[in-house]
Amino acid sequence: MRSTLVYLLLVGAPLVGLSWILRWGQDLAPPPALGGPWALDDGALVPCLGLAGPQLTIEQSGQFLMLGLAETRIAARLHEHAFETFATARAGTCEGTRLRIHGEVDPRAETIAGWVDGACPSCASVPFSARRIIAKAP
Amino acid sequence: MHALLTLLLQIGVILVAARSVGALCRVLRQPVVVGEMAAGILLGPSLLGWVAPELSAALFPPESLGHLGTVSQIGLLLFMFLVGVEFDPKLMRGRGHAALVTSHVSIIAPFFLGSILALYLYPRLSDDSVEFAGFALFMGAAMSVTAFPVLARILVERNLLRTKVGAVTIACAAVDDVTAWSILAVVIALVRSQAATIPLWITLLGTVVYVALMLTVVRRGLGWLERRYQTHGRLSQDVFATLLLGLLASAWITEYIGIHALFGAFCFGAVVPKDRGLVHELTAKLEDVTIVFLLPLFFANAGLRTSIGLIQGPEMWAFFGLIMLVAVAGKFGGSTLSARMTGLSWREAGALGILMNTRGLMELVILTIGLELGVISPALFAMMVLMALVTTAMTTPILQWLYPIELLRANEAEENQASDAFVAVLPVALPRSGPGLLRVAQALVPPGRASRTYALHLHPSTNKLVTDFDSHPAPDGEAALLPLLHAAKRHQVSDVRPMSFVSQSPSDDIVDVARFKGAELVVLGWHKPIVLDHVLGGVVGDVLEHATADVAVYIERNFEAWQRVLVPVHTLLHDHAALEAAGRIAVNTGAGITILRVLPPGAPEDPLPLPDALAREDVRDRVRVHEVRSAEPIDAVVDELRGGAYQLALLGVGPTWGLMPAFFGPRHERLVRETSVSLLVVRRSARAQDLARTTSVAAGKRSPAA
Repeated sequence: MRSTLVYLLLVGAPLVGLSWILRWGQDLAPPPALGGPWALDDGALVPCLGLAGPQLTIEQSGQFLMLGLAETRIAARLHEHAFETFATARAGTCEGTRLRIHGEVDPRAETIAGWVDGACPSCASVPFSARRIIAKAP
Repeated sequence: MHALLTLLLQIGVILVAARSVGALCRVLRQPVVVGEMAAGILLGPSLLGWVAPELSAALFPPESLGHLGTVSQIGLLLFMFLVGVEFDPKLMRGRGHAALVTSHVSIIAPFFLGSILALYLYPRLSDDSVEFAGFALFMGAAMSVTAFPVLARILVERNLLRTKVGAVTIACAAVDDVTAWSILAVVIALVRSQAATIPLWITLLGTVVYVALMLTVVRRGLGWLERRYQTHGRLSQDVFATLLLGLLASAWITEYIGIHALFGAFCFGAVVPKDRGLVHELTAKLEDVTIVFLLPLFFANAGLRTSIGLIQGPEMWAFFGLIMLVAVAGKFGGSTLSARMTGLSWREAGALGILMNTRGLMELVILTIGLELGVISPALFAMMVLMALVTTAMTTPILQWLYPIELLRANEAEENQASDAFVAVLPVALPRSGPGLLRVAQALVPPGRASRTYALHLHPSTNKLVTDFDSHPAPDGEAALLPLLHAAKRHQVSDVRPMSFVSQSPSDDIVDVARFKGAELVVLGWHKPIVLDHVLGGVVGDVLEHATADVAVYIERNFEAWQRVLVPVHTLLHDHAALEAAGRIAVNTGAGITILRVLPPGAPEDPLPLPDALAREDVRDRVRVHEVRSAEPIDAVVDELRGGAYQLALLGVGPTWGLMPAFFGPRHERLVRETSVSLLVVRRSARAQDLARTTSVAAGKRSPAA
């Protein structure tokens, strides 16, 4: 009798709760999936940060992004569909300058549009964009 | 570098790292698997890639990781097969309501809490490529897994297997194992169907057909292999190859129908017949290669994907804290609470809870699958790997705190107090020394009393995967004690109880076992130590110093029956113990006793008090006393023994016979080096020595000898 009560309390109740959780969780809105390689356009970002090439790789853990720009890795946080982060230019016209990078994600079009801003005059409020590279099926 | 050269180099580095960190963990009294998991993480971006990125890139170039991953997957298949082989449905039966309720709660509680945590983590650490249901079920499964192999090893090493806690824990872990893998199969099927890789109906139908075939056709076919094994009495290469083919086919099918290949490996192992010999031989063939060679590759492969650097900032670490809290509260808390509510004491329930909280390698396997499927993100993977490492590492110290070995042995001591038997503990290091120790123990039983003998084998910690639950002690211990047990059977010695467990400090454990078993005698064997060369040093010396029981050290040099025993006597303080032992030997074996009394030149003659046993009527005729005068007593004894009339010399512990460690001056263990008879060195416990002084004075007044 005691075991049955314990069983109902400790096993039955969580099972009921689990079905409720699964139903409720369907309404949660996770961030858009951005992980993978992206192609940067020829805009300001590449020369401003002094990058070797126009590749952008995003390693995503939900809202937390790790932007891989050539050998530079920059952490960023996604709010809704936008992110903002800071990076120091390694080379180019703004070498050593701390730059603000702002990006807006369009999940449907699979594009990122944004701008770079910093104390360096040549990189003040200049736009950039990136498009997701669709991996070919093996 | 050529792909093969790179792979060989990688394997070498991984093995060195795994063995080194594993050995360190053994020193820290942690399961070796904790060290191997940590070694994998250290070789990845969390340490090597961070400290020496160029070296890391040269050693583990991205294009080479495919080969390493493939080899590690083979290792993982073999590991899961062995876990399945170890799985025995018998373990789940007949453990009563407590085990049933506790096992179900130990799954559902962490599963439920993991799903609640998913509500919080899904919008933060996941993305819209993953459905919530898949994410929540995966988090639940990952939280509810228990590392059965690690848990089983801990139970065996602490000698807990036959306790109530051990029995219930094993049953719960067996249920958990099957349930967690079944849930994971469902999650994998769900996720893959969402990704439109394989339609869900194919997976579901395929799974039902697969399981039905495994339980009927395959099981029956394996029964035929079992009979073939029993006919031949050994696992032939053909049968072994058939089993491997079956494993590969099963893994291939489950991968094809959309529930991972590892599930097929586990299922095939689970339906392998549980014939003890077959399981033993099968695991003997596979276990070491899998554990020592292949599994570290899997740990490294997982470690290379674990980037602790992704856990950045206080918010991410707060997520990790939350994961730890949910993992421990769900598994430890849930199991403890249910075990307590079903009748175990708080202490027992806590021990069960902390054992169930061990996640170890099984967690890593599940997490790797989740990462490959994209159900969990890299940062969440890193947090969960850390959680697996911490929950595994915390098990041993918390278990020791909750359920100390001392307490366990004290409980055992209570059951011994009721008996009046003469209890002896025989620590057996070398199997061949066992019969000799038993012979001594039987010879030293006080006349008229029954005996109980504990044959104790202590061994170092191992990283074995498969635990033989049918044998007690474990197979290694049993093998070491086998000659002693055979001798006991041959000589009809009753009440010989084998004991075997892992020991970090043999002398302390021998002393503890003797104390808690209420032993009156500890009989130690002697073999030449590697570093120290004095007879009574090392473990023997420590036991002599600290044991509360009488101690006898037997140096066996011939196997002849004891016809005549020499007992040299110089100072009664140390040699009275030898006289008493001689009395018992005379009564129990019928041997003749020669007492060689060595007096300093010019010393006055005084009567030699003999113990009662030597003064008995049936013994008196076999006792001779020789008196010699010598400034060097040891010369007299060596001369006497060289005469060849003795099979055994019985000595008290003291400086006279040159057996104690001599740090200043020449070591003069001449009795060992210059004679060829067996030696038995006896030391009475402090309490017995006091008693002996009193009784010897009384005996001296009563029966002067010579």
